[in-house]
Amino acid sequence: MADFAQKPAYEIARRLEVRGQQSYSWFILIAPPGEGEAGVEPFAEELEAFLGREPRVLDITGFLVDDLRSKLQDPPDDPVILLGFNERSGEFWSSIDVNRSGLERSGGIIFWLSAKGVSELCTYAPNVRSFVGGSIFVVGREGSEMSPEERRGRLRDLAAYFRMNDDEVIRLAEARKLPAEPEFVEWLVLLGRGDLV
Amino acid sequence: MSTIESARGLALRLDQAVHRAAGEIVYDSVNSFFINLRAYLQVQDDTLGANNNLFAILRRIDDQSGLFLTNLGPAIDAGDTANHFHFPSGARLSFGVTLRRGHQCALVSYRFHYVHPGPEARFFRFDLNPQPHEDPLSEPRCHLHPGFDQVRLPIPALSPVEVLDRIFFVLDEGPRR
Repeated sequence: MADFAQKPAYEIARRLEVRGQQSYSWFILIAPPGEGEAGVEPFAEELEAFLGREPRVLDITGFLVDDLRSKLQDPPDDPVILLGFNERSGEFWSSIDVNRSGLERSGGIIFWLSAKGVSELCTYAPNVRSFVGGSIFVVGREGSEMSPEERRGRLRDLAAYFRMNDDEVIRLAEARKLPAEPEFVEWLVLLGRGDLV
Repeated sequence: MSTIESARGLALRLDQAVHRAAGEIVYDSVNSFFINLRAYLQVQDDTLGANNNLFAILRRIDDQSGLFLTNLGPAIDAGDTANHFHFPSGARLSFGVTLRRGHQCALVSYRFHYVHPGPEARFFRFDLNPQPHEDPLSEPRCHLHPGFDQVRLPIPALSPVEVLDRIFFVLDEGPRR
């Protein structure tokens, strides 16, 4: 299988938003190894924030292609995240490939697949693969957590500005004598002492 | 005739109302707060054509105590940095928002520091303190610094997005209308 670009959910959701609500877009998202479908909910939340519309999460386990088609067309304009492909046969993918025009809809379709699922799609549904084009991404980590180095830098800036050190801040917080400013709340969180707020 | 005592009495009454109103600002989860805040900023960035990298500059800390801190830009604005949100007008923004996890997530405190462009670099800072002060006349819980660190004017208990609305649509856009 080719290497696909890894993008955080935020960036993938933004790409969907840029294409517009009625984009007829198809995306394939590959869950990071070992995460399976655990990443669906945060991705759906990210997508909702950008689109202003809650995406429909549809587990297609046990569906025939006709079931899938009728679900996708009712309604035809909401964003849908499809799950449950991982145990499906090559024959099922071939049926989707043959009937792909019946699956077209104005709302976006996101296939949530494992690496194995993508491999099968590429093998048994080449027309779907072609329709998706370059919109295949591995869902990356969130990555917005502050690093220890960033924390240390912020603590240095606070100490220099207020001319206090971390121990003094903790002592004042324990004595309930910390100044009221919000910067001191941040200081305590940076020190891992949010319990003193 | 108004005296400092009556002014303090009125300030106390106002601060108590703001404190109650601030307690009503809640979120379903810290994650949805963060995601929606980032999406809000991204939409503003796209609209302005500002080209800030929100994914890189909006940072978060999940404290074990249940506090959740969202930061953009430096803790103290001591001049421009690469981590500020930059406006095409030349203005810059930094902020910090702290929530407390719970069945519903409560707003604990925030600071939004907006600096106008130009040699004077006038600033406006919107602060929500974590708790009321004993002298709410000089230190209202929710206040605006209109370019002076020691001047705090009381404002309603604005949510973080309501503060950003004032920054994007009043402070930054207003002078260009």
